[in-house]
Amino acid sequence: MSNLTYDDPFNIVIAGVGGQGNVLSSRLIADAAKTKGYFVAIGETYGAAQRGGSVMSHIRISKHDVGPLIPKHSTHLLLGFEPIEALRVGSLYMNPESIAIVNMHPVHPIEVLTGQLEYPPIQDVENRLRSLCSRLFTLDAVNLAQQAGDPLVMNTVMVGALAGANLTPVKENMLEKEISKIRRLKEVNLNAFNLGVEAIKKNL
Amino acid sequence: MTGKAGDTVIGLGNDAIARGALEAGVQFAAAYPGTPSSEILGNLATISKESGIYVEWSVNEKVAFEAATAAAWTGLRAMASMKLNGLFVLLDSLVNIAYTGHGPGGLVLVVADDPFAHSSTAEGDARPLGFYSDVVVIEPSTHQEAKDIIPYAFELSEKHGVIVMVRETTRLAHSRAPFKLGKISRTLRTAKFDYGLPLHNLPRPHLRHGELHARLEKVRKEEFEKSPWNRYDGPAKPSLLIITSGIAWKYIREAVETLQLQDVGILRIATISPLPKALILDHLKTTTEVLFFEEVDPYLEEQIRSLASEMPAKTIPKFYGKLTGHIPNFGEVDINLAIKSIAAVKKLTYTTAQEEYINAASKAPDIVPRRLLTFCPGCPHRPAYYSIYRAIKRNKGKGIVTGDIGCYSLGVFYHGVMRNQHSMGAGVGIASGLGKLDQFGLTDPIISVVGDSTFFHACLPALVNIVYNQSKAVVCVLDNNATAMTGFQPHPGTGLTATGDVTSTVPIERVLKGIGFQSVSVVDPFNIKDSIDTVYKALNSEESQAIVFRRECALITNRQRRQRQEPTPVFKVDTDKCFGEKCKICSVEFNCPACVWDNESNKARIEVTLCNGCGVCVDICPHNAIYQVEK
Repeated sequence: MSNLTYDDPFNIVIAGVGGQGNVLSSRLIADAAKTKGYFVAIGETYGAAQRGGSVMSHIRISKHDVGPLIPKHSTHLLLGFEPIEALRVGSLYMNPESIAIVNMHPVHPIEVLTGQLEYPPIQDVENRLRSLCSRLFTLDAVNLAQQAGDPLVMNTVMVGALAGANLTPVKENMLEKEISKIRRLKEVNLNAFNLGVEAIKKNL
Repeated sequence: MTGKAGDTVIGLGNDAIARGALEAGVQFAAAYPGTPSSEILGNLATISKESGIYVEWSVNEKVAFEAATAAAWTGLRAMASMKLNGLFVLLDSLVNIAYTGHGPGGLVLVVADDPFAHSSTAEGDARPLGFYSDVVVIEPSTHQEAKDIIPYAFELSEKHGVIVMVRETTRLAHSRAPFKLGKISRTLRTAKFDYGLPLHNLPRPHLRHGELHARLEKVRKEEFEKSPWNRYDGPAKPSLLIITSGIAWKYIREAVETLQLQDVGILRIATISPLPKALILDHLKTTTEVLFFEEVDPYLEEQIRSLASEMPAKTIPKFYGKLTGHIPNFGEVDINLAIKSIAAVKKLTYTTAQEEYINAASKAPDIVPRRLLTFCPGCPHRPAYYSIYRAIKRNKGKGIVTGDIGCYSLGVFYHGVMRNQHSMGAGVGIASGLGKLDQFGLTDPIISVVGDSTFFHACLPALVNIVYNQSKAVVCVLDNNATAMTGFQPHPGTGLTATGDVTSTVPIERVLKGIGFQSVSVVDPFNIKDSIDTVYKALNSEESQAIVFRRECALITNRQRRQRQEPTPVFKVDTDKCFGEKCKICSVEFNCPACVWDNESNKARIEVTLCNGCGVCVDICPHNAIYQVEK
């Protein structure tokens, strides 16, 4: 993909579960895009975020005053914070040209935790995701976050991966600048961001 | 909130509305929390002191609106904000205050509808309710307009002596987009009571109704017929005219662009009631086909169809919308529906991907297990429900539980313990009725579960009814010391105000005693044996019974623990003692997300990354297999 021109609006979907920092990441990407003069709209579904439910964010980067929702099968990029959420949401919003970056570390639904339902084999989830997009990058962002110093900064690893892939109008240095504004666990977040950048660059 | 005029910020629609209120010079803001409206007052509360305005979380929406009316009566600009359900609660006051007028100050009511009921128990539409209540209704479509429309609403209210309702929907309230800040008003008016200005409709309310209609007619003619808030984009004679309002306008605009239709016109109505009749009729004359695209109810569609009856029969366009089945009459509208409905009317085919791909994609997630909502690990509601569930079991399965609105509504998913869920306080009223049916043969015990904030909001009349009419219902108040579902706002039981100041606490158990419940117990739901016994005893008592389950929300406990840098207590399963497959009480019956099932050992395991350290599982386990790890 060319780095010079992007479709307008450029669409990014983030899929995850409550507590993964979905909302924070979308705000960060939006703030970075705003510094470059873009209009950014974020649509979020987070009503049940703190109670273990699915959370989805739509980020649209444009030169115009666009609406907050991405049409079905129209995302350029899927940022999956959790494998089955990436598949659930990706199947609605991706198209054969979409690119997906997915953290393959699962967060088990309550009925899986309690042994009533089974989490599907991770390889199956990966194969199905791959069949739905033009390119799939996978990483264990929780593991990388742990290396950075705190498993909770998984979302920052994923923002790093998005930056390292260099596929969106928002560039690595702009995102890094936004990450450096985070006050809590600043160093841990910067480490996590860089680990995300490196992980994706290795796979490019 | 307090950014410089001229700056552009990215924020929620609700952030924009709160900023608009500051720019309008609002001096009195009141609300009750409710998704998707809560951030409006939450924002104003953070800056109330520095800006000299008064901000309160009221006990419910009706009181919030009445308190705001009082401020307007004395000449201040006052605003009440709420979710749609709050509007349902205050309708009686709204209709009456619309008649009397509200004095010299501007009175603005912001109502957030929740199409699709993302965070609600029902969908609904504030626009027809505003119309029937004879208030002015306006609706912004963008974040910029959400901010700018608030000062305009106050001007209208003061100029014409009308209540102005501003309607927004979830996708505006809870989406983020840039908006440019204006100047914050620094004028603070003095509250002056005019003894010559009583607010009542006596002796002839119907005459006041007529005067109100005259005021609304003036708004229509002098303001709305030529309002710059309404806009038309498209050719002079469109082949299809789309009429829309609110954020739906953005979807329609994008859909028309996507379908590359040059001959379609879009009429965006922001002045919802009274409608600009002449403007609309002028547009209807230009076309032969009209599509209505609006959130929730066919309000514009019905109003405009009735308006079209004034046209010569042959010139009336063909109408498409919710009434004709071209748009679903439930759920929210979105960009996909916008494309689909225009394509259907224009007889076009449009797909975002090949059919083969879409079919394959729709089957891809069939291996994905559902993700049920549940109480957080460490949530005090789980052991409270578990106690009720066990007490009913001990009572040979007899015990009907009515429910209410809050985090504890998840009780419907907890072994189906909670049997109903309607509006705030409705569970207590229904329990009151169920508890009077013994003379007709229903002798099962009745248990009403309510939360602490809900208790104050709308339960008090029904609680009085239980005592007064000697209903047998047992009342259980789940007191977690916060309005947790909407973001931990304080309430009268917490001893804190919206602005974080210490205030009088209204103790729930004393209210219950004061109402006249003969037995009022306060239990800690973490003390599971005591909780089960208390509920069981109450089920079999002849006295009127109320139980307060008191334990702070786990998310607040966690936050405080982090601030104090205290470690979370660690628990483990002794796999030698765990009965495994035969038991599963901790994971399946108690159903804590942290009591996970380990498929390899076929025993329970406490997942450290999820556990919040409540330790209730230690007492739940009948085999003493769970223990706390010493520090």
